[in-house]
Amino acid sequence: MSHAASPLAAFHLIGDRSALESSSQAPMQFRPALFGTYHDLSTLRTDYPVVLVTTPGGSPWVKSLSDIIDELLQAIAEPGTGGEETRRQVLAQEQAIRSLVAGGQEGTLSQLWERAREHLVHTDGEPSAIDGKLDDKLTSAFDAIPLDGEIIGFDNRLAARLVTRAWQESENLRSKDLQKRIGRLAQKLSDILKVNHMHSPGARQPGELESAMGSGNSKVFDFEAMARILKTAPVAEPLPASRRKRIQSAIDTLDSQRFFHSNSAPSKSGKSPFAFAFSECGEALKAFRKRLPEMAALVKAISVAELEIDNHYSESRHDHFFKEFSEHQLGPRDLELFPSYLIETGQVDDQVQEEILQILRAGLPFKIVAQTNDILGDDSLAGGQLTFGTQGQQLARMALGIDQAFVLQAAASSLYRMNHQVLAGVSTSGPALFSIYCGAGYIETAAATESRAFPGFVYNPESGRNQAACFSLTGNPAQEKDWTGHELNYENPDHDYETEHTAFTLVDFIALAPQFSRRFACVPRAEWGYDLVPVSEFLGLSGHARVDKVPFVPLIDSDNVLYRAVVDERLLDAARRCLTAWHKLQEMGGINNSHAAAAVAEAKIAWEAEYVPPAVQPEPSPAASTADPAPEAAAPKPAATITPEPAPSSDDPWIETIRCTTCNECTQLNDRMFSYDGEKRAFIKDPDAGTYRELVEAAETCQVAIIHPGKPRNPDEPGLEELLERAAPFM
Amino acid sequence: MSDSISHCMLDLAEEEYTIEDYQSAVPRWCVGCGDHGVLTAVQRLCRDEKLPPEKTVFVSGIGCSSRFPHYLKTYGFHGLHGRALPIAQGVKIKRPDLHVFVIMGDGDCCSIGTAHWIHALRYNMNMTAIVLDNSIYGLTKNQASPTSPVGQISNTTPRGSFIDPLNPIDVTLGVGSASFVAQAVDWMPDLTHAIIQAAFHHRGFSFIRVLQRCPEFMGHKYDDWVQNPDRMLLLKHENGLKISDELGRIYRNQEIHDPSQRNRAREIAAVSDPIPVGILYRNEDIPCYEDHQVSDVMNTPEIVDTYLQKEFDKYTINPPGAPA
Repeated sequence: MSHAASPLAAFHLIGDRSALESSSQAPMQFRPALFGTYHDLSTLRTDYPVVLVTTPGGSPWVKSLSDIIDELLQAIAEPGTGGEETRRQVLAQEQAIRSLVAGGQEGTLSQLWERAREHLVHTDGEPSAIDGKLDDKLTSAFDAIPLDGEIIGFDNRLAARLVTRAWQESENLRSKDLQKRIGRLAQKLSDILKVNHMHSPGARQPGELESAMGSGNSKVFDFEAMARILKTAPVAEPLPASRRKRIQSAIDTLDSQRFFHSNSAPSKSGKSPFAFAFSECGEALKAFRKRLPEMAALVKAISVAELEIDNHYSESRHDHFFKEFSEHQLGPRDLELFPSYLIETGQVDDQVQEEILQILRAGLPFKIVAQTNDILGDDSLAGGQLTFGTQGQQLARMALGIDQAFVLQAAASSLYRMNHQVLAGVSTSGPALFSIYCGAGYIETAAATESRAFPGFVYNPESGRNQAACFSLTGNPAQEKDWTGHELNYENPDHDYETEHTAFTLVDFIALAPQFSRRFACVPRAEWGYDLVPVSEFLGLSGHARVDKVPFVPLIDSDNVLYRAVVDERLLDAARRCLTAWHKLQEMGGINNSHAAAAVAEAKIAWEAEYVPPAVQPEPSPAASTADPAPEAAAPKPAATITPEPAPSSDDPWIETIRCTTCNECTQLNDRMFSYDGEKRAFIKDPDAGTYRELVEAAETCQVAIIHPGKPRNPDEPGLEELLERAAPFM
Repeated sequence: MSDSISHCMLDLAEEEYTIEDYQSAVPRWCVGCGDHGVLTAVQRLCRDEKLPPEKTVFVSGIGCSSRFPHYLKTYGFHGLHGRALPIAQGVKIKRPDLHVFVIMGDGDCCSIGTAHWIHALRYNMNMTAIVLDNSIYGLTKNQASPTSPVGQISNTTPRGSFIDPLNPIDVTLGVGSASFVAQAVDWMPDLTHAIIQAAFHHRGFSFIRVLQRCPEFMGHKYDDWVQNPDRMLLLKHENGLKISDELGRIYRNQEIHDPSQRNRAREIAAVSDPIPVGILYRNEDIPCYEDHQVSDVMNTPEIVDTYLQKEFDKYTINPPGAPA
């Protein structure tokens, strides 16, 4: 170890700062060098803010402001310089909206558009003629935006609001379908009862007849006389009382259900509809269990209704079953009918974690949002390792072990790009867990995914039966690699431009947290030596190669001056474990799969053993010259030929049954000799049930010529010579 | 996988059917008429798919083939000449739960009913339409139809038909929203059954032309093809028809045709010898008309009453309360 490197190595290995130069400071005001290009994020066109779209009719449920503006400009701004002014004005409007959202303002897109427009137009006091033009332009531009909804920026509540909106979208669809189904069933059941009533003597009373005919005819029509006449007409048999009671009971249950409701049609029972959004697992579970009997009653009513409407209800078959039917018989497919429960737990402690796992294990239709705001924790070893990232990831990893649960792990910054997966999660029939990390700001949160501290993944058990179909590493940059890499551009003391390829590791991410500053020692440029090796590279070195090397990450101070921060061994150890965990995720996602690699290696060895020719090749024979046609082995194999099935002996009569067109010719000739099989195709049922003449005539009249009369079975039949001659073409 | 309780209960009530359950009157078609074989293929389909007779409707127009609904013990509607399709569409839009089949002849579909045919293709409603094409008006005793071959002597063409016949498959493939187009022949019943089955499972408007023999007026038009299996061209594909070994041994002339290839389908449709048989074109992605037209409002008596009153009000003279 060189003399110069020793203090740094001592810091790296045992955290000893005593020998460090005074210039090698702990990084209190430092941040990762790659953050150097990001200052005020509110001016950057990131995925956020987003609009939670509530406009009905084909719009996506969420859309980022920048996407909306881009599409708007495509629609209203002319290409080229002609549209330049419009582009600038609308982009300035977008910027104003971003600033409003960043300043904590809330509202719908239309409201914020209006506020931003006023702000832009009135910036310099009284609006001028130019401002008036801008005013009109921005107003008409907004009219070209086909959607509206609440606009939300990146904050701590983002994940919960986004998932909630997706859940509402999914539930609206589900509720609409089932509500319609329930409405139709109730209507059709009512129709059955109504028809029954119309056929009864009661419906022939004068009053009933008058109401059926309408009030317009009351003065010119004698309903009393009509009732007297109809009294003598035969009455249809009424529905059995048990069936009427069953149908009425089903109608009552369908009408009074509280699971689905629409604003236009309040529940007929007068009771308030159920709520399905909760903030605690315990409450949601309690509500779910309390509602089970009502769920069972509704499922039963739907089943009875469907059977009754199709006239398939059989009392002997179904009565006993429905009598015994209770919530204990509800299966997953029945639960799918009902709204799912949304739980936003916030921070997850041990008890909440146990409740969540209990819900996931039970396969209940609950959608749980578990948010972690701190994945780094304290700088406390507590006698073990630093537990970076494990807090937030533990729950999702455990949930992966429960095969039937949908699991999505992501940083909040990725949620917009994963909006399809979010919607799939809330729409899934079983339980779903959304494990979300949300840091102090957009860039800090995005850095968690970038550094593999909180990688994203989706496990959707409904996507297929194998891991490849269900598991995806969506949302992670550079999925194939260990770390993500970026170009770090900076100016050196000679004012030259320099570029370094820099990996963004877990240690870079940890450098964001001030509580770990004592584990870094920043080395100014003047003291950089060859012994300083980037963390990503250092992790790949073998034990021997590490001698004389010290790992560092590039950091910058508040003046954007670049330093190399030497890292202590504990952080490096954490980075190593983070990488191992990432490798395991990669394997699950089908990247660098160790089983596949081993199988490929084995197959390669086997292939080489079998096919690789020996080192010394025999001299080619003259016969194998280039003029020779391709060797036989290389010629394509002839297509498999179909061997015709041997026809029955020509002595016996037979029919090519498969070609029969059911034309009835032969069966009309002799239905004891010719008959149809289960597919209504003719065959010879009994060749002795008729004469040879009939066989020959059948062959002659068969339109598709598939009857073969064979040889005469009775040698004494008259006219055989002539018949054999006629039969010859059909042999 | 577990199923919902209502499905279990419906399964409990599920019936097994036989061909006889779909047989009604004895067909009055001529002996040797190709319609018999198609009827059997349809009855086999109903049995195999366990179609409840009360949930199945056959709609027809006018012609020999249009007697079809009489021979099936399902619901049926023997309609007007050329008007089978609009009736079937009315049934489907009002009762999407029913299995709707349309049976037409070549005169019915390709002459007087042409407008409905083209628009039925365009609407792509979920139903199976079978055109029994014998190239002649048989019920009215021998008049040339749009598909009669050149030279066909008939009561309306005593010196022989002199214009080229219409090729219904070609016309159908020309409509952009056509989603299922197939050709069958009545003398290959197993294949006809397989094609009708594929059409039934297709979601959308399935159009099948069945080349059909008329022993009375078309004499021996198809004899050469009936008696020589090598003059038939079987279209097979993993996404189309799969030919059984038994059939493959008889009909060796086969082509692998991907039903998603519309241009190739047109080329095949233009061939009349050998006669191509199979699924020429299929596109599952074309939306059905009824999918767009599903109303959230149910036609309850109250709703119907409201609509009617609203219409009547338009013609009310001196409504109550209004000045005279």
